[in-house]
Amino acid sequence: MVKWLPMFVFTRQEKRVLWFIAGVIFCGAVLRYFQVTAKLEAASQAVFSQPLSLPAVININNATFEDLQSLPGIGPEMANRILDFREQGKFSCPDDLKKVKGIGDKKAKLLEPRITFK
Amino acid sequence: MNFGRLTRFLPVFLFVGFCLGTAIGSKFPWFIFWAAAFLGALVADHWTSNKFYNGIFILLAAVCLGALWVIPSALVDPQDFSRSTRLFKIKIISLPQEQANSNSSLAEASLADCDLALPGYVTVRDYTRTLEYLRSYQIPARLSRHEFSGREFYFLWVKKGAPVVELPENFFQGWRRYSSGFLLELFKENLSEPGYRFMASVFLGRRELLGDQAQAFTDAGAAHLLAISGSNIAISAAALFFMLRFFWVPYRLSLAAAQGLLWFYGILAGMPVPTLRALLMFSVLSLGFFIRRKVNFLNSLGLAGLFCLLIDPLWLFDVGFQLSFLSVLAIAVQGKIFPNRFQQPAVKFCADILLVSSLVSAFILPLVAYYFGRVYLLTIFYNLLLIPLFTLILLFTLLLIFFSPFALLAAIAGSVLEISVFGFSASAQFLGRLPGSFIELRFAAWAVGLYYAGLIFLACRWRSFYPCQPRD
Repeated sequence: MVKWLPMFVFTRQEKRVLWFIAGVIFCGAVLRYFQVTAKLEAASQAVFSQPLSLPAVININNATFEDLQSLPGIGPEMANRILDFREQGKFSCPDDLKKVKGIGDKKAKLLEPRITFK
Repeated sequence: MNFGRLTRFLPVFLFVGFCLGTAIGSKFPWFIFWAAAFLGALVADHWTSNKFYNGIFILLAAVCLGALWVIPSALVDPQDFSRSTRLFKIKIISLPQEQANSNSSLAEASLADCDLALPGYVTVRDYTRTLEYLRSYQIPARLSRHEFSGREFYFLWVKKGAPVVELPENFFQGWRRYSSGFLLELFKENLSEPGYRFMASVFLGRRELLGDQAQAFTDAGAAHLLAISGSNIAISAAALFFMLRFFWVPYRLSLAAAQGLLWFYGILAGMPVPTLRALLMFSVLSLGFFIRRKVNFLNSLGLAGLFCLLIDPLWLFDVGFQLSFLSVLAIAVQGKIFPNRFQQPAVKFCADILLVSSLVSAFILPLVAYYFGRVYLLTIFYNLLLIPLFTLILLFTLLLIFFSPFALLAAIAGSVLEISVFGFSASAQFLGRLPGSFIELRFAAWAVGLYYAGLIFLACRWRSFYPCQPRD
C-alpha cells in the first residue's frame, strides 16, 4: 500500500503549474457553458418566434451593382460584366447567363435559385 | 521496482483523469456539482499536507475539469433542431459523391441564426447538386437522425431549388482548397483512375473515393493503414527531415521545417482526430529533440490526448480517437513489456512488426468487435507484407510531389507509385479473400470493460514478473 504513494507526489513547482493550467481550463469551461446555454436559448426561440430568413430572390434584369454582388460567386468584376451584358439586351432564361464571360454551368446552377428573369 | 518513476507520467495520469471526467460528465451534466467539487478539491489540496491525499485531490480535480469541459458540448443535441426546415451554415469536408438524384457529402454544420455548432459531422444529401468540396454555404435544410448499429448519424436534406448562398472564404480556406486541388490534379495526371482514388484516400483522407475497394481493405484488416495517422506522419517526418539534412540544413532548422510542413499537411488533410493526435505527439517529441531533452513516448501521447479533448471533448466517443490512442498505447507498452532482443536487422524488423501488430490487435480487438462486429485473425501476418509496401507508397508519393515541377521525373515517380499502389491493393484484396481472415463476433459493452480490466491486470503481473531494467 505504502509503495505506490510516490505516484501522486508532485513538486511545489509542478503543482503550481498544474493548478494554473487547471484554473485556466476551469475558467474556459465556465465561459463555454454560459456561451452555449445562451446560444441554445436563442436557437430554441428562433424556431418558434422567427420566420425562416431565406435569402432574397433578385431580378437580374433590374438588379443594382450592389444587389448583384450579394449573389453567390459574383464579385465586383463579374457584376460589371453582367451590367455590360444587360446594356445589350435582357436576360430571358438561365442559359443567357452562360453568355456572360466567367459564368459556366456550375455558377449558373448556383445562381439559378437566387434570380428571376421577369 | 522504483515506483517513484511513475511521477514522470504526469501527463498520462492527468489525461486518464480528464477522460474519466469527460465520460462521466457527458452522462451527468451537473455543472454546479462539478464546479463545486473542483473548487472543493482545490481547497482540500491546499490544506492537506499528506502527499498521497494531495495526489488524490489532483486526480479528482482532473476528473471534475473533464466533466466541466464536456458539459457545454453535451448540452447540444442535434435532434432538438430536426423538427423543421432551418437555416444552416455548412462547410463541405468531403468530395461530393454522385447518387441517383442527389449528391452526398460530409459537412460541419451550425445553425445560422445563432451560430450554434452541431457536434460531429452531418451527411448532406444535396438535391441541388451544387455544393462543392471545401466551400462554405448558408442553406435552408432539414436535419434528420438515423440510428445504425447502435450509433447515431445525422443527415441534412437540401431540397432541389433551395436558395444556396455561398459564403466568402478567407485566405486560409482558399489556400487549403487550392492545395488539395493541386494534389488531386497531380495524382490524376500521373496515376490511373484506381491509383488516383487510392492516393486521394490515403494521402488526403478522401476515403469516400475508394468506394467498393474500401471493403477489400477492411476485410484484410488493413483499414488502419488508410487513416492519415502515425504511419503517414512518422514516414513523412523522417523523409522530410533527412531530405533537409541531405541539403546541409542545420539540425534544429530541419526539425522546425519538417514540423511546419507536417502541420500544413495535417491542415490539408482536414485534420481528422488520428492526424491531430499524431501531429501533436510528433510536435512534443520533436520539441524534446529541439531543446535536446529526453522525450517520453507515453507522456507525449498523454499530452496529445489532453489537447485533443480540450479542442473537442466529444472526440472521446469517436471510434477513430479510441482506436488511434489505444494503438499508440499498445506500441508504447510493447517497448516497455516486450522489448525486441533480436540483433539481426531483418529478423529484428520482422519481429518488430509482429510484436507491435500482435499487441495493437490485442488492445483494439474488443473495440473493433464492439463497433464493427468483427475480429481480425490474420492481420498480424498480413502486416508483414502490407506495412513495408505502404511505407514505399508514402515515400514514392513524397517523391512525386517533390518532382511535380519536372514533368518527366514526376511521370517516372508516378509510374513507380502506380506499381506500388497496384501491389498493395492486389495483396490486400487477395489476403482479404483468404478464408479465416476475420470472424464475425460482436462484443457487449460489459465484455469490453472486462477485457480491458483483464489486460491491465495481465500487464501489471507481467511487469512484476519481468521488470525492465531502468535505462537511465
